[in-house]
Amino acid sequence: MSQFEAITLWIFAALYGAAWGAYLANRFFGKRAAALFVAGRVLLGIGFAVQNAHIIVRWMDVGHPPIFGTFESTLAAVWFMVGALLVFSRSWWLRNAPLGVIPVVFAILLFGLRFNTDHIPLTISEQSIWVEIHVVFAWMALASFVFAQWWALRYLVPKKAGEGDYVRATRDDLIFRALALGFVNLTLLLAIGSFYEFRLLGTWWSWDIVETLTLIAWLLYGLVMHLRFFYAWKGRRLALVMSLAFVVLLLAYWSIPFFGNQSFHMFDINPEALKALG
Amino acid sequence: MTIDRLRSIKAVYRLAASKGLSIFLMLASVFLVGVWVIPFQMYGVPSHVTEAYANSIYFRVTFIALLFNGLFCLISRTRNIAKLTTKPHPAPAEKVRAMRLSRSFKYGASDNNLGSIERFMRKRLYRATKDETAGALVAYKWRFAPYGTLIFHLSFFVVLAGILLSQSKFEGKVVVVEGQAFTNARAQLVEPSKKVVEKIEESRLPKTTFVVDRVTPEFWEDKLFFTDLVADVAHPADTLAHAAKIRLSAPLSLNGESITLSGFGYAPGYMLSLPGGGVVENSYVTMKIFPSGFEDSFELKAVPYKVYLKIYSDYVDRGGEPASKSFALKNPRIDVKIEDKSGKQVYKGLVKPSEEIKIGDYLLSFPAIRLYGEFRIIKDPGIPLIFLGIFLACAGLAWRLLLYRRVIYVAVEERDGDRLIHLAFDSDSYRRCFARSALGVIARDLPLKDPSSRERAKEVVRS
Repeated sequence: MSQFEAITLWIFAALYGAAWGAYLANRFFGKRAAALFVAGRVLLGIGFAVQNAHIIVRWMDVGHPPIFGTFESTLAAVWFMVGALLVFSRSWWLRNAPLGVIPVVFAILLFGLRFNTDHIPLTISEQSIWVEIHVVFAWMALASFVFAQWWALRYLVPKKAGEGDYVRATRDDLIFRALALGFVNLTLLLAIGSFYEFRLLGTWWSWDIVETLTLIAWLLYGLVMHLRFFYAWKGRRLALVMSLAFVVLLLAYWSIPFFGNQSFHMFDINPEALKALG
Repeated sequence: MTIDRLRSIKAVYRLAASKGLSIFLMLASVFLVGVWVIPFQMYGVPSHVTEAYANSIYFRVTFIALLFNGLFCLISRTRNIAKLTTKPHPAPAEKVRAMRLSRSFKYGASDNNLGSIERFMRKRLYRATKDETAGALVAYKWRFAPYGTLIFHLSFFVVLAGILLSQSKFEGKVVVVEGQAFTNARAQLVEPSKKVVEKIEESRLPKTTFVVDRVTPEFWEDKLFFTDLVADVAHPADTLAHAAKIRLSAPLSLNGESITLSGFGYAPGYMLSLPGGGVVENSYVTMKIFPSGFEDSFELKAVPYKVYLKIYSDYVDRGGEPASKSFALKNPRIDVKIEDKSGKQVYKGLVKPSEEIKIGDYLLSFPAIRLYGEFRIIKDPGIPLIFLGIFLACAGLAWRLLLYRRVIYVAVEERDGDRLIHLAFDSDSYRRCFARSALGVIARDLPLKDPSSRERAKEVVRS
């Protein structure tokens, strides 16, 4: 990582943290501190602009969109989540989303910093527009499911006094809408991945551990959709099944580095191993 | 057929098409994959073993049962789905008021025939039907979206048909040296084995022929880290009418066959000659001697010698030991070791290309080093159907869940000297989200003359 990248990374992380603080204060003081909500949005927006500068510089330096390897994956995931926050949290009824999503953004960034941040070109198997489309759907799916899970979490904590049925019904609709968007993106992710796998390896499905975990997450989210459609499940019961699916999804996305060479989704290069290759 | 028998058939069908069975089978699939595949993968069991588990009867039965349960569910619910797609009609004011998600406002527009609302809806890609006498209008879009459910579930049968067709799939590997051609599948394929290839019907074998002009690998900073591997080919082999590039990630698709460059290596050319000048043997031999320092061997045909080779592509002497500065074939040296049939070493040395080695009555030299490409050829008649099925699944899902059916009922009536507008919202999914966003747009853009109504509408949106 260049010096410019390191500086911008810390700046946008600090701005996201400040934005979260402003949102939290707004939540704490309520309508009396409406300006804090606007401040949160502005800080988030400036942070996003800085992150864009960070990504563009890295993209130009390394010669490919920064979406490969765990560190770059975390950058992409964070970009999609904050982008979605900026687009959707403008709406009054989605105003609480940043409170839950920004901590996830931080967790993902910190996780990414544990991995190699060097500029490494793409190996042949990564050089295809299909991989890039596949990755875009992956992060859109994750962003949607993080939103859905945040709202669903509110069913898993003790019920807030005075929360009306109308609020709950609207939240159920929001959860389902985010789930539906995530499910479509997850299906597209699997479809594009399958197509590229055929081009690369001559088979449209292989029991790679990341593929298998994604299949399980897909089946579990499919189960959630059917429980909702067939039995009109919502609230706490649905939130529990969603949480299970979300855990599997997180495993599919972020456990890749721990499987070493058992998965062809492993894009991290160990700097020591790279030296040895010479 | 007795009544009892009919009843039991009905009972079995009801079970096969039940929602409960769907949920059970989905859970069973998750359990099977989670318990019988993931742990083995985590412990590093080879992929072909995992695949054998995943192809076991338990998995097949569960997935097929899930598929047919989906089909029976659709059969028993298609009528309900069709009902959802019927064209909505304008409803009078009292009916609109009584609908679930309805709101009423003061309406100050001058037109009596709801023309401005109709234009407003059409601008937003809604279809609108008016009933002027009742002062009512209905606007709708994505009316047929519920059929997305049918398309999504039926697409799995298209995938299944593709999988069945794929049983006659052919997959093979051929090794072609630069300047040489692939023309005869039976003779040239290195995988599957000759015995297997002989048994394969002619129609299943690949028909594409091509000549390899050049194989070019690229490395990053002279490390064994590939940034490109491309083969320039011309096809068909007899006319060379078309030129193409084949990469690992970009196969050549021809005649329903997919040809990918999956690897490469060195193919040193050797010449065995007599001291007087007569050539005994002259050929290229494909060897696994990349990267520098790897050793492989071949046997000469005319004389009983076995030749072991190593290649240093960009030779450098490092403390008396041969090494290579890069992977480029800039200044190659060949480490040659020759044994006779008893295993006794008859020669060992480092030679330049074209340098002659005397073995017995013969001279052996390596005049050139070429590269060869390993090409994987796949002919799978099921693939178009499999990807058609996958495409339909995505399209059906997006149609049903993202472009969902939405209906807005509008009715205008005069009451107590006021002109009221009643709006009601209906959709397949996320009704409240839809009602809120649609109401927000209407409150902002509709020509509501009375400012109090507009403010009220905004409040409803915020509430």
